[in-house]
Amino acid sequence: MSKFSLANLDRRIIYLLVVLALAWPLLNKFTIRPARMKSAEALYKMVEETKPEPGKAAFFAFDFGPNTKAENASQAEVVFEHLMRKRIPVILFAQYVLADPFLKSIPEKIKAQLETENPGEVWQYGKDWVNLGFRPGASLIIQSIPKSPNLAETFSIDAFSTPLVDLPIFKTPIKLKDISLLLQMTGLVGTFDSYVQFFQTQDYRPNFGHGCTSITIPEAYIYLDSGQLQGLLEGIAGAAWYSKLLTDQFPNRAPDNALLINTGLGIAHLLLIALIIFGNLTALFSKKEAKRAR
Amino acid sequence: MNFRQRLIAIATFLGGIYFFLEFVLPEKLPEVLGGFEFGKYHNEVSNGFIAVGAVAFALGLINLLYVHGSKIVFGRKGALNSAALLLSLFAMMYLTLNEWITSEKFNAAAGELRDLAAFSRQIKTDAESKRLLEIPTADRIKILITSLDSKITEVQVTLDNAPKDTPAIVSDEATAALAATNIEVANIKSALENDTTFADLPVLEKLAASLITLASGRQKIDALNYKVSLGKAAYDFVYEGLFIPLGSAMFALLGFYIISAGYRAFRVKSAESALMMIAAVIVMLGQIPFYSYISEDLPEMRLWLLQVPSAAAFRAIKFGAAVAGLYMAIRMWFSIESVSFGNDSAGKTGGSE
Repeated sequence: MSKFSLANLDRRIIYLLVVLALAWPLLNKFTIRPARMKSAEALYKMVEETKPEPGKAAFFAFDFGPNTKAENASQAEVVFEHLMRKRIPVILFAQYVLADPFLKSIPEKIKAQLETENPGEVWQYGKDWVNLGFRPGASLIIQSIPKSPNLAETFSIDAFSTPLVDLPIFKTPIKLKDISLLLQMTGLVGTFDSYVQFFQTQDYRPNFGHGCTSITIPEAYIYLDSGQLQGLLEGIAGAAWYSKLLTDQFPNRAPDNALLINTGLGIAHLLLIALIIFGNLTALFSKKEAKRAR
Repeated sequence: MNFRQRLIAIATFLGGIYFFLEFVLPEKLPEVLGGFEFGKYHNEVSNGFIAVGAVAFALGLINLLYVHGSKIVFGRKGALNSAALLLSLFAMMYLTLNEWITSEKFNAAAGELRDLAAFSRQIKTDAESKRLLEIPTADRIKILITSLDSKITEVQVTLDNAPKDTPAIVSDEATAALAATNIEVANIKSALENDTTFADLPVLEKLAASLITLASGRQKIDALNYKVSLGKAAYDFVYEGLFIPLGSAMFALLGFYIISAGYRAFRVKSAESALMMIAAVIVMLGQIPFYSYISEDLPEMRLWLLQVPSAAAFRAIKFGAAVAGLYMAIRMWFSIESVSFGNDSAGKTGGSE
């Protein structure tokens, strides 16, 4: 029978600790103030400073699926909510097929939330947002956007087969120069780069905000540093800070999942740090013990 | 190089040179060079490539059926898993097709109203421009009204059968649009009785506008009706109840492995590993809500690590990868990279024929 050793803790015990660390805040709805994220603040400021103008819109790409839903969906929700509060018309789009259901569910969720919070006010499909749905073609479709004199002609119909020209957002032709903001949330390698490369003309590039998963944060920083990105949501921590900024500005706002998930992950991070320290200490003691025994 | 490989090599080269030139050349060449617009048909070319890309999905499906179907037919090892995979595949395909066909049916019903709106506008435009048509304006309007009568009855049935929890804004908008359509139709009918040449053209524009609102209202109510149907419940159960949680669970497993691996492998054995551990701990602490209990400076320290050393290293990696990608692209373009052409003998050595 193997001897119980602290230096080599059974992985099942570690898994159990992770489950407890994640589940406890989620079950008890325990939240704590998130860490300050300057990159999320920059994105917030960018959206805040954008004025809703007739004939202008924000282009928002949901390039994520169920795998990265915890991080990307929370990011998409807070930014979309901010745009809706500012009454900036949004053109929703995805170049990832599994994102399609989120293009429908997230706006509906935010619309219901905002209409409950603001009785008498209405957010309408076609006027406040348009869903272009999933479009195949990856970077080819992104390349066609800057060349288009009218996006309503390029995409022709929305996700519900409604001709875009019949929707109020597209009453006047929208081309790249009319896109005041470009936003993209993804956990996929490769989809983000195509926006950086192709979503621009020689004389115009819209302000670009990006939401990435925690794994791709270091890669996203090179674009933030170079000025190709104006704002960044770093995983769930970025979404949580954005959510906190929204709550500061709109105190009646209903609590969202970002803070809850972020608190749970924060506790899991603490557990990881504790385990690393614990693992090193036990390794150190066993080394000393082995030396003494020799 | 056989005929098939030669054909693939030619197509690859032409595809590559087209996209290269389309990207580097100006929209229109100077008149001295003939003023040629190289990207004139770029949308059509792009759509062609997208269509070819879509064929890959069908190839994937055929491959799955071939690999797993043969396992089931010949009772090979893992046949049960293959059966589960194919069963899930067909169940999901059936439910998704049902979802797609139903939504297309609703879209088509709304589309018919939009087509009638477009027809109404066209009649007005043609009459204003005094175009000579085989069918006189009044007769065209009669055709429009006859087509509308049956559609209005259909919409009335849809409105009567709307779910009880239909938001007031949706039902009110559709009801108002239907009432407006009925009024315009009645106006047109009475005008036709009194004036055989039909001079009241603006009413056609009003009719078109109310038909477009009606189309949108009908689409919304149809969608609400579908939401409470069995087909939608089955789709939601499989997609939102199984697929999304399973996908999230697969990704969430990473967290367990990382923590377990961190505990076992993150040992300080050298100066480099100590440096890495300190950096990792700072980055983690700097982004979690509990940093303030340790130091208020942690987010700033984390930011510095990400903005300076990490960004520098990543930029170097990106440049390296980009140069390697360019080299690879050139090899593919000139068909030097034989692995991609299914030549097994060349593929094994990685060289060209």
